[in-house]
Amino acid sequence: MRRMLGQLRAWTEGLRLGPRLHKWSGRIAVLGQRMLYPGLRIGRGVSIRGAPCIVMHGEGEIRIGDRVRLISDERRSSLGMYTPCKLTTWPGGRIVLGDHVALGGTIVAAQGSIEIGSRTMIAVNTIITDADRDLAAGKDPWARPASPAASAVPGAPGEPVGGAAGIRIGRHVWIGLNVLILRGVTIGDNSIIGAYSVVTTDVPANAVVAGNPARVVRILEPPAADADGSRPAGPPDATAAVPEDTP
Amino acid sequence: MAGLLRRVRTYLGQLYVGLRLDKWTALVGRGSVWANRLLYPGFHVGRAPRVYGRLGLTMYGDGEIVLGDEVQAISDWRRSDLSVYSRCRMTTYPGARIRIGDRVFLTGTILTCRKVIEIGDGTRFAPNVTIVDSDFHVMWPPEQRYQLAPLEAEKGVHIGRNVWIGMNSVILKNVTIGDGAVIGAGSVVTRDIPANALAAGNPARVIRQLDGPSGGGRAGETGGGPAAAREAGG
Repeated sequence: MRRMLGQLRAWTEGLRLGPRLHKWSGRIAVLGQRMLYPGLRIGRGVSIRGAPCIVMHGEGEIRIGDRVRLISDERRSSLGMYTPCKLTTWPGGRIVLGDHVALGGTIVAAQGSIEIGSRTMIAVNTIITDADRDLAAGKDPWARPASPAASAVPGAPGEPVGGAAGIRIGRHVWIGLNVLILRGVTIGDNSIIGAYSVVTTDVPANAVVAGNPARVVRILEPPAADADGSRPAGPPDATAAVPEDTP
Repeated sequence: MAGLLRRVRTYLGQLYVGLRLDKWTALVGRGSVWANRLLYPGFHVGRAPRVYGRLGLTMYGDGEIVLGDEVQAISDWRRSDLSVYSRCRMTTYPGARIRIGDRVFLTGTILTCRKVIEIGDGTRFAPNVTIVDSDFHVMWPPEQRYQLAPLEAEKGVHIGRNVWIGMNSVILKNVTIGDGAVIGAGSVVTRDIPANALAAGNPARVIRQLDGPSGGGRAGETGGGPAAAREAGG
């Protein structure tokens, strides 16, 4: 019975009512999802284009702050969007999006806790996931990890909890396109993640990182940046390019 | 009113009617190119374009997009020997200019232009390449990152003739790629690449010169082409 319900939910996810009037279909879908998922909280003034997909396996929590933008229609993106926004939680997973967060075609999948601070901008095709498998000897790597909620410190960075460790992204972070952010990573406030980076380690505040694996290219010091106002000498941080309503 | 018109254009410019059979899609794709020409006065197409699937075209304000003769654009994943994630998209912001030379092959290529993107004759793109010639947001202060970055210092992206760009690469702002260069798959090109160089990596670095003593001639003319791409991570 539970299984059937789960399947029904997963199917209703992708359901779009009516024509693809992008302003409304997404909202209707999200409202429908709110009824389906008790753990889903949506703030005021959330802006949705296209039909983002929200899937919560079992008990979980997704909190979407005020005035969050979930851009899921490729026509609304200046860059090529490969997929609509997708938020997934596995049992015990938790996704918190702060206020004014802008996501465009971003995939967020949480086994533990993924927190994204307010006013963070994330460009298209970025994948943020703390999903991993427990590869310790004697364990079945394909077993579902235990719920991190049972642990004392759920999803503390660097602390693998049942195969998952949380991700924390600070405020005002600017994440470029096609970035991959893996488990256990903490990204400090105001940092910039270059396009096509693979972030596997913590990023300090005010840093510009790029590459695979991502390395610090330079630290943005507020007075210096004010003084010359120049761009970094290193790899450019490339286009968060969150689709704007006005160009 | 202008906003409404823009929205109508954005929608119609990508409208796509017809069966998803290859032949018809190609025809409709051509139709869509001509429809786009009607919609956007700044859009010019050369002789005999070949378009498979929909070409996603968005021009904010008065920009210019010029396609040369015999340009091929594949936007349909069925028509690519690999696959494409997204259709070919060209987006110009006010005053921006995209110029694509003759016999250029685009495959799910995404061109986002605020200043200028120039692509020389005979350049070929493997699937899923993105070219962006701006950062779009100011870097500092972080509270104002929603603002568009200033354009004065931007030089745009210039790609020479007969360049071959590997799949899933991205070319970022202020990059010039010389004639005959080869960019390996999955590269992130952040700096200029000289002519006839093989470059790859994230960030992309020159691995060797293809016209040097060990280069083995121009890529694509000898057996060195695909092998070079493989060596470069493709």
